[in-house]
Amino acid sequence: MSRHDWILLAGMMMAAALAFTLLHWWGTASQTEGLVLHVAAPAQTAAAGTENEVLEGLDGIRLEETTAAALEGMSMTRLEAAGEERYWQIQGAQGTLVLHFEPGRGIEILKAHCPDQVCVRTGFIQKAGQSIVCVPNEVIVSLQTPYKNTEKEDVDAILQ
Amino acid sequence: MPSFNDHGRIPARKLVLLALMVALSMGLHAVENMIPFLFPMPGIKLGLANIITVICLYLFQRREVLIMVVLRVILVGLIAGNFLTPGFWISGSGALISFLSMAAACRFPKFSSVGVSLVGAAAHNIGQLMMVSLLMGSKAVFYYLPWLLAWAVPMGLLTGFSAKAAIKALRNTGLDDTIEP
Repeated sequence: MSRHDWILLAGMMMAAALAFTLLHWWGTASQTEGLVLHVAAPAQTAAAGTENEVLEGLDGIRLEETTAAALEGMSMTRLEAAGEERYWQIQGAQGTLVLHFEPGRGIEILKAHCPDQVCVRTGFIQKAGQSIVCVPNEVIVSLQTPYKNTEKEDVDAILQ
Repeated sequence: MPSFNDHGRIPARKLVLLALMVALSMGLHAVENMIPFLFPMPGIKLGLANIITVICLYLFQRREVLIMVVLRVILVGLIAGNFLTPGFWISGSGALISFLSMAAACRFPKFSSVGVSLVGAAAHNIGQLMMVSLLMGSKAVFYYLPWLLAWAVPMGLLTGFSAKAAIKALRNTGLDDTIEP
């Protein structure tokens, strides 16, 4: 390899590194754009008598009592633009769940009435396609790109 | 057009060599397609056919190599059964853009065959991505570019050193003396 080959090699590595950095940098920012919240929960109201231990330790925050249907399709872009933290209380099959939105971090299930707490430990989701699932409560929270039918062709993937 | 000799014909020896090279590159392409999932993501290939392109750039004239590349893409497309499908256009645009940039890089004697091959590997990936984004009508595929660029480095080195060794061996046989018309 000649000296110029090494320079070329270094140049290519740097270009790749630069591209990675750029991607990391505004790739994540643009991924939250246009996302909508998707919340699925059982239709029936909560089972009786399992209330409210999840609501302990939440004093002093504004908890909005709502339903999965009301949260469905909420725009993440708008939530980010509003710039304030939101707490929603919804009903799952086993009891209450508390959803938490924090600007810049995304959505999490803050508290849930379920034995294993997998949904709570999932933490924040921010990017398209991520989801939080609470099996005992039959609740799924996910972030999706809104369905757009603007593409000319409906190509899923091209395999070679 | 291949260069003609005084009688207006391509020398038989050169014709045979060119045909041999096309066959070799097709063979390498086919072998490469048989290696499954060597790499964690689709689109990353060894680019073995690039070895032949690099060798030929040093042994033949540029227009002859262009004809070889076009022939290879069409023939491999016919054999693999994806002629005129998206896969064909993607690999074809990759091969053509890679050829054009390697032919340009070849004109700088400061680059050795390894450097030329590095340029070719990167250009191949960029060309493929351009065609994919054209076919899918979205620029989102360019998110893939950093990974492809990073992988182009080891792949380019591999093909480059192979081509270098092959060129040296071929020169030792005195083959390139017989190529000139």
